[in-house]
Amino acid sequence: MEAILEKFIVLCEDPYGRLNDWKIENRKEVIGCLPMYVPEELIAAAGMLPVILLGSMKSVTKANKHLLTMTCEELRSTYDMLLNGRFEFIDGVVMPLICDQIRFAGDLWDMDHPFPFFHQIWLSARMDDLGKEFLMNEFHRFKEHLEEYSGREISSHAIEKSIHTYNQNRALLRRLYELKGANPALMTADDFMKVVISSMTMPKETHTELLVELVSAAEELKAPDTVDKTPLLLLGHPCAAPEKELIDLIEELGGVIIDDDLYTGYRYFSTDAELNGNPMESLADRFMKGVPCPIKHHPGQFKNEPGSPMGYPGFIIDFFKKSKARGILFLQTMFCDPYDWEFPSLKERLEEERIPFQKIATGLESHSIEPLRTRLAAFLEVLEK
Amino acid sequence: MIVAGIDMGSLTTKAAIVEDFDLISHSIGRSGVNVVEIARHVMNEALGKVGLSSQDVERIVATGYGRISLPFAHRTITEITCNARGLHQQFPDSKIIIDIGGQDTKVIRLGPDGTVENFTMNDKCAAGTGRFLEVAAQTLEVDIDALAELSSQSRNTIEISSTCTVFAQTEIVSMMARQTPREDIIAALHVSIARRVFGLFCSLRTEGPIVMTGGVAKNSGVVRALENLIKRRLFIPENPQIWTAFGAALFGEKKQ
Repeated sequence: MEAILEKFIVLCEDPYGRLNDWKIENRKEVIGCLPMYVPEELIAAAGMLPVILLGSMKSVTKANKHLLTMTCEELRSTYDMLLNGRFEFIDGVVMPLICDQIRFAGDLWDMDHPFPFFHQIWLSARMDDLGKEFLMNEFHRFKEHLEEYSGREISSHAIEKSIHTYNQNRALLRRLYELKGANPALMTADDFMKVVISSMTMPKETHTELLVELVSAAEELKAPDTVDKTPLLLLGHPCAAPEKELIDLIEELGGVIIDDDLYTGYRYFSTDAELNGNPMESLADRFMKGVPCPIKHHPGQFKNEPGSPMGYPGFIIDFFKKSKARGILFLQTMFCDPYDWEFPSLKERLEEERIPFQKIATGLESHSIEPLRTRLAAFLEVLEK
Repeated sequence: MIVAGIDMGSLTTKAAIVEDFDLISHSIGRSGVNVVEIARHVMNEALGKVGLSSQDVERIVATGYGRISLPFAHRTITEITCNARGLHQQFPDSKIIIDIGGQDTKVIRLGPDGTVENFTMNDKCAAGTGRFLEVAAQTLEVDIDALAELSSQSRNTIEISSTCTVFAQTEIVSMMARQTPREDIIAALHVSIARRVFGLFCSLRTEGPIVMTGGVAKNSGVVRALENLIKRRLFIPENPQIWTAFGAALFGEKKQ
């Protein structure tokens, strides 16, 4: 188990440096995708390698000259990595327009560092029929652009095959998540995230081969009867992995993350694209029916609004009730507009339901871990009482 | 059964000696580099006041920022849990605690059983804490204990606009250069702290009696400024710095 897990950890040591070598070896084009929700399956179906571009924990240097200080740190960090030559291996970039900031950042990327392929996808904000129609049009526009760039038609068969490959990978990640939930000692939360991040930064087929080994090793390990730790549901921190130091501190203090809705966690693999004869629609449905998120609006989620009252807060409450977690830790990335706007209604609902939670403001580089020690320890004491 | 609670804060170290759930002695000393020696000294001082020695203490519970550094403690618990425990034991009607210490500010909501139901604290900077006042007092060349009295003599309302401790210091220096009365500057500082704390206070449901503890609770200028914002009376217990150490000691008692 440890040996196979170590392979994933090594893969995450320098994922983008590794891709430089991969590209030379495989002579394949690589398309960088900013988080979240780019339909990677289409890029793979076009014969290229989609890679998720995640910010690093290193201090931002050159990007500060170009961006406002209130730009979220994922965008500042990835742009800084671009300016520092960390993304030399990519031939193109796809920006999902999930928030206001990425729209402006996208224009900046295109102006400062024009790639042979550059595409911005509008993702539907409304989770209804009109929203789906809009999203389908956007995905078709993306497909056409990929075809134009690659000079190859992307057949329905190729998309279906790609979806199948991605679904296989997602199913294995879900199985591992389930095993880790039942046996938190299987691996640390940070190691689990590394398994997910490696999936974002390498060909899915290769990752799946490794994952099969990891899952079968994990299945052989017997879960202990009792877990002497406080189970937590970890939320927030979209678009980037939370700091290892923070995740490790939670575990050091006696917490254990048994469920999450992180992009570098459950959110990435929670939903499959169900094949129904129209693969483009399958991809759109995957987004529309996927787990709620602060960038999505479900008609009915606001008070007095017609529709079903699901939305992000409803999803989280439901998620918590089904989980064995005793409390919720909400990691609020500094300057993330969608999550900032969502938090007050989430907080109100959590208080109504009397679900214990703590919000922690996090950032990739501006964060000081030590003052959090007391806060996290006190929260765990509240949950243990 | 004699138990001791030691609260090792960033500015002061407090020890409470408890016998059968009653506070029998306490002591407060300045925190410093050698946290272990200071903690031992403060505890021994408190014990000495009632004719006891460390040999008489059955259990020691450490809390506060330095709690993890105390090798002779039998248990460590966060100051949030200890503060709630201590205040609930002594003042069972308390529902909300505002604790302003040397480097952090906490607002704690207690549940019906007196345990912590929810809490919030500053996590980004030390503005709105005791350190903020200490830096300001140094800049103004006044004793920190004289701040409250001086602010009560203020006749003009002025604003300290910065919420950053370092920038506020710059602002104070500029005001002094413009010969702004010191009393007015101090009153403005108190309002500035109160606003920061009020922001935290508003993020929790805060019905019920409010108790204020921590070193800053001794400053009636801050208390007044905070009461003006909250529009409710704050109850300030005698010796507002020691209740967290008292709560820690209670966790050392056999019967919880």
